[in-house]
Amino acid sequence: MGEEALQKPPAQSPERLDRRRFLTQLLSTVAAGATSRSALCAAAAALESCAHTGASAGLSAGQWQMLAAVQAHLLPSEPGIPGAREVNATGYLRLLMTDPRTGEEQRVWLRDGLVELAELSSERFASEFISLTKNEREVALRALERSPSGERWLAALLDFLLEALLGDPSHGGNPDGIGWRWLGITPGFPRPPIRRGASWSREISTSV
Amino acid sequence: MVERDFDVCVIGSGAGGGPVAFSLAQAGRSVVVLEKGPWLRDGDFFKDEIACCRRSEYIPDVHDEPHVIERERADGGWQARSTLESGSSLWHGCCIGGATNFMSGFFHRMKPVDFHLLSSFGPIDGASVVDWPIDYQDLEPYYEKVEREVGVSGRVVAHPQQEPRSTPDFPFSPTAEHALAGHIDRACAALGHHAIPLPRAILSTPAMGRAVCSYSGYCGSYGCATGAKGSARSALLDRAVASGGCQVRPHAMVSRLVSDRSGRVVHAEYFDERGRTRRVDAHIFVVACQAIETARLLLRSTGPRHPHGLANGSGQVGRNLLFAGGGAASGSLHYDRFDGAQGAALRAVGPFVNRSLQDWYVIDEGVFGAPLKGGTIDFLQRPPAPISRATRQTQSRDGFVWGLPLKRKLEAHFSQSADVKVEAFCDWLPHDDCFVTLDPVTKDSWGLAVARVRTGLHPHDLRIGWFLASKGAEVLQEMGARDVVAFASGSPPTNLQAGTCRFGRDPATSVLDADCRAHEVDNLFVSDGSFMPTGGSAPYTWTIYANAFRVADRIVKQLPGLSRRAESAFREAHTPPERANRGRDSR
Ligand SMILES: Cc1cc2nc3c(=O)[nH]c(=O)nc-3n(C[C@H](O)[C@H](O)[C@H](O)COP(=O)(O)OP(=O)(O)OC[C@H]3O[C@@H](n4cnc5c(N)ncnc54)[C@H](O)[C@@H]3O)c2cc1C
Ligand code: SF4
Repeated sequence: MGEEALQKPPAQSPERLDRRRFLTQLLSTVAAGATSRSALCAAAAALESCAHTGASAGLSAGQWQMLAAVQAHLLPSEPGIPGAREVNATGYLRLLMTDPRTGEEQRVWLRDGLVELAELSSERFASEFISLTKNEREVALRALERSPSGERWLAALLDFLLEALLGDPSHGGNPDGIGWRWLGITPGFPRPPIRRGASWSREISTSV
Repeated sequence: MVERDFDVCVIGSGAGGGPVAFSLAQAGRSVVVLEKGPWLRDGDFFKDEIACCRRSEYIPDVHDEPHVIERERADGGWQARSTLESGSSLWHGCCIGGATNFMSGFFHRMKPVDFHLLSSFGPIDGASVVDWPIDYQDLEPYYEKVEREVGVSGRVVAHPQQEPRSTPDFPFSPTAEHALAGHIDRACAALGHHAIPLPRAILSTPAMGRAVCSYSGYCGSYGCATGAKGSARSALLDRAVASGGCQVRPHAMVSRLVSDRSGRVVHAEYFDERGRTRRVDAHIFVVACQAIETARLLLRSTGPRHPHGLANGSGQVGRNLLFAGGGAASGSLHYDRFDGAQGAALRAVGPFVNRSLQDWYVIDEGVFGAPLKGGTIDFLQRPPAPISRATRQTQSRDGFVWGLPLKRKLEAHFSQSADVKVEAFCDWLPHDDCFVTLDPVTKDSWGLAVARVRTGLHPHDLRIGWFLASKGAEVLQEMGARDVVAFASGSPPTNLQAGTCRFGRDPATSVLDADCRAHEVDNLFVSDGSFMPTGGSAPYTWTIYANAFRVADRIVKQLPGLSRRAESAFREAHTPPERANRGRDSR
């Protein structure tokens, strides 16, 4: 990217997770039978609840709240310095998950990670993730990081968080370039036109 | 059903296809360009890292169009994996203009020695190195033509490896330079190296109806909104279409070239945007789909005389695939070492670093015993793609970095230093474990067999790549950079592809003749990088463009003469208005 002529295939740079790789990881996870029965049941339950809550993308309102809490832990807000909340990380992810180009497997993946984290929180602390203290959340997330599926989930979640922080605001994150301003980044020009995201994401960000 | 006759049908609209379409239209011939991707214009390109680089919006989804890649296992066997599983992709810009829309435009000519690797350096065990059937002098006029028609900016300076030129300097002065260039120049001078200005396929002044570069800083991987980048689209195809002789058909996925009993190609069959099968007939067909897809198209185009694929009687189609060998290095120049003005200049986003070293294009220092072919070292600024840079900050040996530590790491990363990168290019030696075949199982969404690509590397390339990367790292150290690392890379940079249909004199060992016409099919030419039997030690695109202009001249010669009516219509259309008026006045 940028000013370079050599381009390595993405598979060789493990830090990069693009849409294809993201999808692929999901597919291989599913193919390897890694999706537990309980996770699938929980997913089915979540789907059902969509029908009568403000849920979207196969996640219940509670699961979106839990996701927002995870994101806030990974990129906390500080006075004058944006965190997940200010960059609209949850709204950004919700837009991505409800985009028609996003496959169902990606939504299942997002849910599976939440279900795994929920199970882990209740096993360790007999409590929901959202009710844990900051330290307990750290312990739970580090435990999740130790499972291969949890590690992949966190890797992707971090990537999406940073997309919301530093992507063009037209995608629904980084409102008014707040992330760019924080890190002194000069965006390129011309900037993309506003997609359906920007205004919608504001609405979503207040709903989670 | 045949829609219409064209003199020439070009398949693929990138660096290989653009010059052919342009030249034929200029020569008054009718040409149709079939391109599988859409026709995006300057106004459709934005600096949107999520679109270009994280969702890969300009290339096909691997779900629809995968490849199967074979990589070498530790035990020496080969492991095949679909890109659907691995998440990597071998596509690089499927739209009018192809990957040239997204290139960085680092342009180097090949040098005379590249045309005679075998006779100059002798054979290398396990590599199928050969001499080219043409000389540098045959291509030189076309390198010069690319400078004018595509637009290459630069400045010729005397240095030991400077290749011969027919003109004293570039037609366009260099693009604006970043302050890092001065630091590189001083370090190279101190080490006794010859830092040279890197030519760029970017306009530094408006020309040919295209605007000057806007120095947005976001160039490679991003489409160009000004037309300054010398993409085949803005530099050639737009002009070819404006001239009236060229028709461009986007969303035309060519499924096969149909040949008759005599073995000649009679038409190209393609799927249009709605999935309908269409046909085009022409006197001459030119394939330029980028090396891997070109081989794939020929291999699946079987016919009565071509049971193993078009022009593949010798079994050579798909063999000797080339990427670019080499290595890389990087280091950080911390701003705190510089005073306010110098620090501010180092922080600038927009201008280009534009520096290269070719002192070791031939390595004659005795380190390897006999002289060896070396390569090119390019210097560049760390790409401004902020998301990809930020995601790297989440990695550490002890697991992910997140929370406040991540925030502090991001602040430090984006504020403390200017990072300099080195890219070193050497030959990717042709050999028997780097090739393209058709996968027996995997099909794309049109039901066509996908390419199966073995990507083996010859170990010799690692030695040279490492040597060059270390030389680059020494320069970074001399500049006072911190955290300097260098490495040689064995993974193929898949955006730089060549080979698979090498040209040569012997039909038993090559697919194309010296004019890039198929030995076995006299109305079939290949004009992308597939013709290259060896790749030179620099990115390929200038050579692909130049050779495609050369091939176009051969095609013009081969075509039956223009009818008298067509010729006078052409003259009329191509006579400048003032001359036409003058003519009328004096009559
Ligand atoms: C990010 C990036 C940076 C780069 N930087 C540099 C650089 O600095 N310097 C340099 O020299 N090179 C660079 N390159 C490489 C350069 O872009 C390629 O060398 C060049 O575009 C190759 O030309 P081509 O004609 O072979 O293929 P392309 O330009 O890719 O054109 C091939 C076209 O054929 C089409 N096609 C394929 N199959 C079919 C089919 N069956 N039917 C119809 N159409 C088909 C494709 O969609 C594509 O548009 C870079 C590439 C990338 C991606
Ligand atoms: S305007 Fe200049 S910097 Fe921007 S894409 Fe075009 S050539 Fe590159």
